[in-house]
Amino acid sequence: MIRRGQSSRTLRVGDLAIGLSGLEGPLGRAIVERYEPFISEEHAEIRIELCDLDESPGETSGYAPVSRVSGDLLAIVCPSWTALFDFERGEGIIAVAPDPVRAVYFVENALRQISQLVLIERGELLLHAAGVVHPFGDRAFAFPGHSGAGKSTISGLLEGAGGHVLSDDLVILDASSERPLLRATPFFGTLPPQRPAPSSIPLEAFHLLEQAPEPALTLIEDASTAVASLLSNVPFTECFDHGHQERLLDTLLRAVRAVPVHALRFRRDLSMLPFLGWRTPTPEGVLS
Amino acid sequence: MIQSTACVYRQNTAIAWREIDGEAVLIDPSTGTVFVLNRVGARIWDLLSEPRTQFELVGCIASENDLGVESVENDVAQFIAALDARALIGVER
Repeated sequence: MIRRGQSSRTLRVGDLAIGLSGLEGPLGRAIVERYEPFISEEHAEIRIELCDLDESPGETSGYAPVSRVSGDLLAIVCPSWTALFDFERGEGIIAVAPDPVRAVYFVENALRQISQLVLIERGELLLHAAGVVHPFGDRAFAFPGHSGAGKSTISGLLEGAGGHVLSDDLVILDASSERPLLRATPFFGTLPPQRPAPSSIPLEAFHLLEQAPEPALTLIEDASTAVASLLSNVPFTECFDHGHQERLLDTLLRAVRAVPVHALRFRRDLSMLPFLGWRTPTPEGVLS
Repeated sequence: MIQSTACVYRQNTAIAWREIDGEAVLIDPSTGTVFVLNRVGARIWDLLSEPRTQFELVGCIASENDLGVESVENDVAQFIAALDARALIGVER
């Protein structure tokens, strides 16, 4: 493993400030460019050093990362990258193979998993969901869904209707207060964040995504079904220990007690807007 | 596989779970798989916080629901077998 250097920046993931060092060279520039709206010089709460693996492992498409938490340590291993994080010390390393195209994604994969476990400790969590703020800026909607469910599609549609996209792939749910909050993350699918994200927005509702010919909105009345549906959209649960899983259940239960969970059937147009309480945009872009 | 009625069953303590409005949500710790148990399933799960035989479980469920033992026996046995197959419970034979 080769150390890269001391060039550092702070990456903000919701309220979590992650100090990233080793940002030299093309990989460092790619990371700063990818996360630009979330990069600052502020004080970091946890620190992660980027390193290089000595050589490329070659073809690795058949290997998935293996993650384990043991005590205060998280270890993630796969041929192309490795990450270790000590939760007690708040420090870790991410070592990636020299791959000019994919290295930035190796780093992001590790950052996502580390962030998830740190957030779970705080009573928050990363949810595999699009998050969009209403044009009025006072409420946000979460659209959980697996890959291909339409998170980026609905994000793009709602952005075109005046909404502010917190992320089209991964948002933070904070259910520690009476009214759950949604937070932006630097982690996105196909829609890079275009402008600085609002810090925390009260969550109005969850809308579980399902693409269908005709739009419809159905309330999931059963709390256990609602929790289970959201659970299936929480990434990296396979590496959680028992304590993480209990905190995860508690966080989701608080959330579904506070805001409604719906199944949203939608198609690739704005016909779902009335179901969200949004009017179809006029040519002047005026919404209510 | 349905075990002998003499077996003693108990929750796998590695399972994270919460009771929600009479139902139960469980997470398999090894895979992250989520299970939702209905009210009767959640009641059996709750009873399994202590070591129980299938005979005891059948008796409790029948009594609490004003049903005959024979009408719940098969369902309880199948449910226990399903929990066992997923390692959600431990079995002492």
